[in-house]
Amino acid sequence: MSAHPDANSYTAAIRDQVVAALGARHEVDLLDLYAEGFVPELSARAHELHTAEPSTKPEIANEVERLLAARMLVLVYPTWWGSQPAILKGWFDRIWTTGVAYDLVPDKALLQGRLSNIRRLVVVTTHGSPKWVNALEGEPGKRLVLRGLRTLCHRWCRTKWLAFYGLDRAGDVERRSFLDRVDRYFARV
Amino acid sequence: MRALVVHSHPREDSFSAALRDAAVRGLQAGGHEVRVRNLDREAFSAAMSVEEWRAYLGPEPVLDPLVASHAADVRWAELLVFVYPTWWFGLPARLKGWLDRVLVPGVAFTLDGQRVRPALRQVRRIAGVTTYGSPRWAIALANDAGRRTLTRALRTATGVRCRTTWFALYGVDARGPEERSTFLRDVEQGMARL
Repeated sequence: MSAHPDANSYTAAIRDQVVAALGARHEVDLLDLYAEGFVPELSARAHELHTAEPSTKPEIANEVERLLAARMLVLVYPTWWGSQPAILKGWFDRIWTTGVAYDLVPDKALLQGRLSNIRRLVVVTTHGSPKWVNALEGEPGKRLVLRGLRTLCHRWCRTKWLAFYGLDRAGDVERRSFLDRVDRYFARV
Repeated sequence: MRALVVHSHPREDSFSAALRDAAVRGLQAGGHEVRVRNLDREAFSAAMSVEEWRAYLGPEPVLDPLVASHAADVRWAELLVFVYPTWWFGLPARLKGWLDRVLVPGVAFTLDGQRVRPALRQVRRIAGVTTYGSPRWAIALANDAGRRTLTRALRTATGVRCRTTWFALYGVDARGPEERSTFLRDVEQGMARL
């Protein structure tokens, strides 16, 4: 999945590198949220139906089907304000629903994960600011995915976090070097 | 103080809307001047557009009149209050979109070469009012990502001397009417004392 408004962005280049590296040995479904016109806002009606059967929400059936078909989920996006761009957050809000991503455990405020199809969860993200700034601020976006979403995936779901820091100051050499690193990871996965 | 309340929830019949109203009553009782913005009522678009992205570092990053209106309110405010449900350990998409699209260069901060300088130093306090589906321990496991996102973004804009206050109710789906009423009252009284 990718989430960047600009088709000429570095995020888009990373996305292309991921797809190319995976394509040799895996079947790749690319969901480019902006290109596909994904609507991130949860409507009043969708909120009312949030815990209802998935069949009551045909408008998200396509994205749900694609999520359930995946054994590996790769999220490619720029980190803004320490976490995912709003369009990607909206994908979690609208698609990771009851009966899809989790079941509600009766009498408890807990979720039972349903996404046992996902055995590998990978994030490839860029930060404008350097690593120490992000560490100081607790990297909320990282926790959200690795500590939050991962619990709904396969019990032994493996995770990988590939992050480029200091994009604001980086030159072509650093950018190319990161693309090579991304290529090496996905060519072997 | 001049208080801006930013609310993000799709339904007016929600507990979140009731919390917003309690916060507003409390702020008014405390003698604050209050402006309220409802992101869902205004159909505030969450996703930054390609035009906004390309304009971000330029002379005029604000392109949308609705965003300009929010930017004006943020520059007016001395107290920022966010009322929202925590979804997936973070902010609803619209509220995240408010950070992405409103807190831009020239509004929230200025870029002096590579240095980021706060431009909202008149904001003395940020308050959050949020509910969580999960229990407290699960939120701690995810390091309270939503709160961190908000305070991180706002501290970049306000500078580190800005104080924060948080009102949180965990495991909200399992809470009955009495506990909810108690939380509403705590928020109203808490706001009056800010």
